[in-house]
Amino acid sequence: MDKDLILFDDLVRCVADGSATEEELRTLARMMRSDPRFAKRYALQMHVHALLTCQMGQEWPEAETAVTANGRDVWRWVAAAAAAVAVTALGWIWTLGLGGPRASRPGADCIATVVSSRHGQWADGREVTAGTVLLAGVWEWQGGLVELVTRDRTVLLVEAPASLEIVNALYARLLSGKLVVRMAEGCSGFVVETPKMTVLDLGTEFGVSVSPTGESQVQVYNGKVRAETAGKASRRELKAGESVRADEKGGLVEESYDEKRFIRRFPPVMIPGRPSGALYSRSRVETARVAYARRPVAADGDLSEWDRRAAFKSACAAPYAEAYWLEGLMMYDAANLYLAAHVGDPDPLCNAAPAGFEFAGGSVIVRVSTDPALGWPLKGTLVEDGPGSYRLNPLTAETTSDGIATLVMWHDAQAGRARLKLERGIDQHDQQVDPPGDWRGVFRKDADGRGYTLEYVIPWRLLKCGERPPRAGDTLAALWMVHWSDAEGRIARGQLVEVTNHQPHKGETTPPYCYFQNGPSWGRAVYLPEGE
Amino acid sequence: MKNVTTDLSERLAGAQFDLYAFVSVLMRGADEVADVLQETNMTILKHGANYDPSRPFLPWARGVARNCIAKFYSARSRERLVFDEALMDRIAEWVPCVTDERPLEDLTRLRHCMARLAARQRDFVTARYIRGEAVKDIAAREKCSEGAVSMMLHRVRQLLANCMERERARAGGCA
Repeated sequence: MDKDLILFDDLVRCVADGSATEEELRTLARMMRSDPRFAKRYALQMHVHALLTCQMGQEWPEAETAVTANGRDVWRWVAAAAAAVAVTALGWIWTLGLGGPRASRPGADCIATVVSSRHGQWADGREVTAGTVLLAGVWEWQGGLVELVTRDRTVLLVEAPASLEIVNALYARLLSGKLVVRMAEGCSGFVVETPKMTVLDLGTEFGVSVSPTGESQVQVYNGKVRAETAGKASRRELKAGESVRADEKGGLVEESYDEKRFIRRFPPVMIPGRPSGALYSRSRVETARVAYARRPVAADGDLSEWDRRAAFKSACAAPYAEAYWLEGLMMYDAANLYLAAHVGDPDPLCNAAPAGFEFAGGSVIVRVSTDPALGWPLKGTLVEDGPGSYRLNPLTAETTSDGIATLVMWHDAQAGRARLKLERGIDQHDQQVDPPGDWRGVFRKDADGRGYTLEYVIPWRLLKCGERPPRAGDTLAALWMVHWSDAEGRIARGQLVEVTNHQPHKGETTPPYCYFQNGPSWGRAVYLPEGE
Repeated sequence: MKNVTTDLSERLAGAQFDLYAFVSVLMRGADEVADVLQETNMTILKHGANYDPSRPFLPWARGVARNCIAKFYSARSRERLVFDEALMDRIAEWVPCVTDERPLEDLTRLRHCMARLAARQRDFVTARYIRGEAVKDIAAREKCSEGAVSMMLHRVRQLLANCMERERARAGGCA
């Protein structure tokens, strides 16, 4: 036994040093199988090795202190050592509050606290204020950038519009919007679930996004994460500088890394002289009048050929009404739909939002039904009515109809030109950015730099109704939305939703910024006869 | 996930130290240990409904970890498999247990036992485990062979293991 013991201990030493060869491991295993005492010896020694491994970076107590330490001191040291377990893989210990004084531990139900907000706005339009305590549940923001800190010190940077279900201090579901997760130094273990994938943090900083259509993407800034699609169809470990999105087939598709895809740090300075608080609107217009275009319309940003009498006007609530407003215009003829808008915007034409979230950097969105058979109000919906609970409904023919189009119009600050994103159906399928076809668009900044004009020509063919475009007398569904951003064109500043159904309707309890997913909430577009 | 309670996540948080040590004993490689630990955490959170709160949490959590280790190796090339399933079960039986009430008890024991080491022994452990120095760097500084440093560390681990065993016995074990 002595000779075997020396050999065995030497093999255990090699395992602990990380230098054991395969042959040595086989010998070790053979010895443990033959004599259970070896298994016990191995377990005890490797257990000590594991405990010591957790001490990396910890302050080591002096021997004298250790001997005389009272129970409280011991506990403090043990708590610190326990927290160091996170160095290897964990971020859980702090959930117990062991890392700090128990008196400072928030209530058991408090999972996160708002520590900063830049233009943060809750779903109901209220301003987000620092210090707000978040319990488990679904939280929704319609604008701004909000920084949360969980009780185990994980920083969550929410870029609105966003909907986030906080399950516990280490588990959240991102239903829409963008989220950057940054764990405390050396910690890991945060999980973000999206409709199409789950992201496991392995000691890192990463961003996760869920587009309005549910497209999920993750990008790693530091450390690594493990991404797996729903049902674990695909699984991949990503390191810093890598990004993937979940595709329709349950696969993970590599995406190019874009440093600016997410906002990683909270902007520290407010712009002097700008009001703070919530920026939103209450819809005043139910019907948009679509005038017949008697003359050709040039997309040049000059609205002199437009009959402004058919325009509708709207503005954000006080104190923003003077700076954030919309004048919307629609015209048509046999070949085209014409859209124009004059928008009050203190930070015009600076959209720098990443792909998939183009609307958030400043945009005008017009949604139209072109199919008279769909009637008004629209029936299709993606949401269930009921306060605070809306989820995907089974898709109906109305929801997926190609006779419904969404036109997202924005000025790409980097490209220096007008862009168009076309989506079909309330479910926003067949998305195309700058779709092929003879569409034209232009943005022009106001002379005083406090707003802009846009003018677009959209062929009916592009909207798949070239053979039977809307005619005089048609009443079809429509919805307008304007998004404003901060001066960098990255943070959604607020929005205006206009041309909505003011009558009681199914789904009216959903928040206005979700009206686009609920056909009955859309307002009317009345196509006027020529000369009216 | 709707039924995952704060209580469960707090129990899981308290179990992390023990789960880490348990998994580390049965596997080799920091990355593998971290992966299995994450999988264990996920499994516990997702299937928390399977846990009977009237029974001790830590043994149940160790069982989940044990299954995750098996799953880890079954899903991969077995070249990293150090020990077969039966042997892992045998080793797992000897990994010291802790109670739900005092999940960090072994850390306390470790501290007490560390305090009883000779100064030079403590210096070696501090260099290797606290400062994370490589064995060859310690050897160069101490002007001795790497084998000697490795042996010294091994002896210290044995001393600590024996010391902690005595303390466990004095405390009466987990029962």
